[in-house]
Amino acid sequence: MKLLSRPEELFLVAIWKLQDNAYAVTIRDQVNKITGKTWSFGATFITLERLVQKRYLTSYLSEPTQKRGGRSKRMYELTREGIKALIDIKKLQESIWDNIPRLSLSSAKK
Amino acid sequence: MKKKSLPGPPRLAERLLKQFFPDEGIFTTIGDLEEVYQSIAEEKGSAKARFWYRSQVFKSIFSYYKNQLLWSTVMFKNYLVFTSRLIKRDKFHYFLNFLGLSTGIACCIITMLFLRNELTYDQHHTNADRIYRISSNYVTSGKPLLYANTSPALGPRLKEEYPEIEDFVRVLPLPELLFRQGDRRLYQERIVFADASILKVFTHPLLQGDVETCLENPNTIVLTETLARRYFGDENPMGKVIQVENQDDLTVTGVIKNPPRNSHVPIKGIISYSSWGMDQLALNVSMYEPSVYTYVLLPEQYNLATFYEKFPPFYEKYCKADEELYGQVYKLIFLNLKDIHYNCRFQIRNAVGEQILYLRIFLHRHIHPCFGMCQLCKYGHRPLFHSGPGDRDEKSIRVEQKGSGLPTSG
Repeated sequence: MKLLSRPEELFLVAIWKLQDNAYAVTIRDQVNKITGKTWSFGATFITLERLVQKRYLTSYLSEPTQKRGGRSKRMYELTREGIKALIDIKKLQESIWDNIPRLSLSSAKK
Repeated sequence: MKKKSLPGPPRLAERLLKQFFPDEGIFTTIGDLEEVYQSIAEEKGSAKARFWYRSQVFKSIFSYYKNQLLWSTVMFKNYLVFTSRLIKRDKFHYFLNFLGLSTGIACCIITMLFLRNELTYDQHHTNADRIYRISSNYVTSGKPLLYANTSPALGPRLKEEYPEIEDFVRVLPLPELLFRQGDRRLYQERIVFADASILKVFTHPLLQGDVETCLENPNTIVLTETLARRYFGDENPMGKVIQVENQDDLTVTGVIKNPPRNSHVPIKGIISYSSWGMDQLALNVSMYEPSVYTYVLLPEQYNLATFYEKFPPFYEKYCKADEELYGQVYKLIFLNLKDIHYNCRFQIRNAVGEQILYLRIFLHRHIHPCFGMCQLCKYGHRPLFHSGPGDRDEKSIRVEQKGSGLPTSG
């Protein structure tokens, strides 16, 4: 099982959540909203490109839209491997957080 | 309501951006940026949006060029590794390759040097187009008998009969001469007797001395730079005396620049023609006794056909009388200075420096295989520098995967 990195995970989840409306702008908004930080466009594109290279994502071009000066969007979609990776990471998360003592700041010793 | 009046993103920045992205024509990324730009413009006003857009582009400029640099060097290193592995795997083949390539390059360089030498032969004379060497053709019972030299009387006679001939030079090459100056006694080759006009017709720039007078008087000599230095060191050679063959004293009246080696008359010293001692006598020598090389300077665009038309009277006057005695018909051949070395189609007796007939054979025999050798090394030609990660084609991706351990993304 290959483990995803955190940003990769964030992006894959965002794309999964957006379903048919996943392109750079919406993905970035989504990730910004979840993490509460502003992701630069560069970081967005690089992560997306890396995911495409690892075959977790595929991309296609949408019809040109009026809003963007007649330019089309590059839409992203999860592949089978992508979905499998997400399921794996979800299982991992659950097993990590399974059966641990109650976690709070007051339990810190120092 | 404001949506319509919103100005577009900054033009210059947009154009710059288009250069960065390899998927030109689709510009999805630019579309994304524009969308965000518009949403910022709606929220915070267009000035802020423009600032944001510009800063985005500005930031990407540096990383764009950094990436390019990174990619080119990374690929370069990768190719080195790749090549060394290929060589290890297939030593014999690569040995052949390198042998072929080095032989090919070496041959090409040698050929280039040789050709440069040959093609600039005699080209340093500014009048080269108009200088002709006259060769003699003694037609003996219908067959040509060619000599590169002519009678010493030909030059003055031609000049007399044909006013259109601007100048003539008689050159008589000498065997090795013993030069003596003080304690130095050296044999000197490539010394000629020549008319004073040699300095005007040919291009031999005088460093010292006067063009008009330096070869006028008997027993004067003009030396090349090297020769002057050899006999007189750093002293001024002008007016000094060199003794030749232990009998004649020659006064140095001029110093010329060293002529290039690729000249068919590679002179090192010019002794005035009047020092010959036989120069007056030679004016009456028959046209059938070739001894000196005669060069003439013709006017520009001169048509040699007109000369041949006017030749019969000349023949009547000077050659007819001897025709029976020698049993030969005398004809003149004009050969342009530029053609003497390179383009001479016939063999001539007593000719200086006509070795070039074999050039074509040389080209066919040697140059062709050279390029063949180079073809041996077709292997392993790959683009050395990539302009950026976006330009990767399939081939380079394949190489990249083999190389492994490289950053796969800019």
